[in-house]
Amino acid sequence: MSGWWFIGSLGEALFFATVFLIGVFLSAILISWQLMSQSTQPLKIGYGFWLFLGVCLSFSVLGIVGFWYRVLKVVTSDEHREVLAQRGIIPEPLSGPQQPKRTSHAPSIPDVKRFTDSPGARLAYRLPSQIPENGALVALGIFAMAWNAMIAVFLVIAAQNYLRFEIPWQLLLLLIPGIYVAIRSAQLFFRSFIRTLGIGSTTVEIEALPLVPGGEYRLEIVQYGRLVIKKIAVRLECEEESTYHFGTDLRTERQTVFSTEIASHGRDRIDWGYPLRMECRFSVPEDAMHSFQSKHNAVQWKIVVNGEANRWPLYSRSFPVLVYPQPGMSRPAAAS
Amino acid sequence: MIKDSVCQNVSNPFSSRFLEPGAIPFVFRDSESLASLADRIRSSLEAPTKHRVKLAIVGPHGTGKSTLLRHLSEHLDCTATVLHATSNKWIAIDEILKAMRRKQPCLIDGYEQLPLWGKTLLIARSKVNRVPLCVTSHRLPWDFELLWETRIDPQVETHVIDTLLADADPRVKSDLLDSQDWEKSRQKHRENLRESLFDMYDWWRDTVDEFSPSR
Amino acid sequence: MIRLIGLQPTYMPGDTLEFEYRVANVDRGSIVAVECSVCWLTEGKGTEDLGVHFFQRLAGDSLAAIDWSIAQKISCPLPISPLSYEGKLLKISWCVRVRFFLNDGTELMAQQPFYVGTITREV
Repeated sequence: MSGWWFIGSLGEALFFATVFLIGVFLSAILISWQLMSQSTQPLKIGYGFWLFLGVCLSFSVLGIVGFWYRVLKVVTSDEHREVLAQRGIIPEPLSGPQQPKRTSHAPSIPDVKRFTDSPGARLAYRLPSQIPENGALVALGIFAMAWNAMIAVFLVIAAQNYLRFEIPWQLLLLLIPGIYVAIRSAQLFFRSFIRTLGIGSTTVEIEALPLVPGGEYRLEIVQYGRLVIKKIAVRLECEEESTYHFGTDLRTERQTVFSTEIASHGRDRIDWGYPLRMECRFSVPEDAMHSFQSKHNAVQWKIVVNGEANRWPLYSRSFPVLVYPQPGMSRPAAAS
Repeated sequence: MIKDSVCQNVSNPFSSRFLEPGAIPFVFRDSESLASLADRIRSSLEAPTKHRVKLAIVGPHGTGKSTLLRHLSEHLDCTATVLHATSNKWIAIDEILKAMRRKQPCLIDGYEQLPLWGKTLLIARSKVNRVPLCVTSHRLPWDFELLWETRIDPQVETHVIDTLLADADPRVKSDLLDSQDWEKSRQKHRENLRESLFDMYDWWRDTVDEFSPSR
Repeated sequence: MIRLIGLQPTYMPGDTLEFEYRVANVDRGSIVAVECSVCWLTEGKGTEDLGVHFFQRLAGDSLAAIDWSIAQKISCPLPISPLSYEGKLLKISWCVRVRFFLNDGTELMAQQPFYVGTITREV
């Protein structure tokens, strides 16, 4: 892959988005002309009409498929797609040392299945991101696409009325804010897409879950994108979270109670097809509190990746992990 | 109030259980009392329809509105419905309507959380069922009469601190009031005494807590 | 007065919690119900949460069969979690609670905390 990956990806996404909108626009014109126009019928309902409608709809379908293929190719890695295809969605984990017995009764600890339902490409598990940025990008894309399509149809209807010398005031009043939302949503989506293209996704894989205090684990971090990294640091953190209701107030407070750097990498260039891979080992402290979740309080462990890159804002991505109590915990020896 | 002792460590007096509404008795200024406020609500229940009023306890965050409403609900032997930002409004309104059918005064904590249609419905039903409404709000709602305005003054502040630190060493109270943390917190939160007390949780933990595990 | 006997200050996860309780200076005929529970609770800046690990209620026929002249034994295995914990925003503690409900509406309660595990503070 060459350095034109960035411009190429963005250009392809824009191209297919345009194709989609053209398809929607032409379909809307055709359908509204046939349905709403009573005096003129440019096309007889016959072979030609259906052919033209098919072409217009195929533009829309081509646009949707091409657009999302390009976007999803950016937000997931090739290896991950390959592993999912080969192994299925919930495979058996790779051999993991120091795996505690998966007791079925670990009260007040989050379910381990939430953390182990994504296989890794090289290590056993791929950790889910705390804030699913890719999910947000896809959701924004779907919204922008649907909204723009809807506005395109309304624009066609408004134009049809205008050509019949009827000014649809109510529709125009709706279209003004509607067009603004359409432009803004498209702008926000492409801004996020550009950022994803540039900074790219971060994947973290771990050799075993759940973790136990005193255990040592292998971790692999892969940073995708097209950027010059100044520094990337990986930390193991423990955070307490408390929510309180007081009368009508609802507040959540969080505090990091443990934080240690487990890997770092200095200046480097990352490009599409040439991601930055970091491997490291880390230990969970012997006296670590296990993960805890109750209705209003929680103790959460996570791997945090902090990156600093040229010409991009600082970014921080969190990947929750699960820590179980140490198996076979024994009383400390009596002090002499 | 039960205090747990964990490994000879006394509970932090600024924990949520000691700061929740109702945990510290409300203190009135002037010559007002809980009984007289409850009487106003009761008299509204017995008054002719046209004289029935809607009453509001008004004040900024963290000044004791919920506490006062809770005391009133105990005094009047009726329940108060508490609305949070995330409360299910449908369930809350249903509870309030049930209380109205029982001819009990309706006490609502967090009236502003209700949507407009909810407020309209409750006001209309309170007239039909002839029950008084008493709510808490940050501002006096339209067509409501003021029952009580909560605010924090030195007397209230002293009462709250004395209550919370009743079992602590007397020097702790003077250390707290003289500390920079307390001064900064009061300047930051102003009227909101509850937030300042929350900040003192950290102060107590870092300054006073002496942990000694028994192993 | 309720006395709890035999509770240790510390237990390990999976240990069996065994203790006895007895009541004194109470008219046995006035006891309506007795509840015994082993639970964990959080304390701190957040709203308190309570988890009941063991609960036993004696009332009616089961209460009538009790001989209050001897101590009542309770035994339950402790789970592996949550461990007792003292952090910055929250603390988790375990305790045993025994409540006696009397026919005049009075409630007697005895409570004793204990520690589970060996974690003493935030990491």
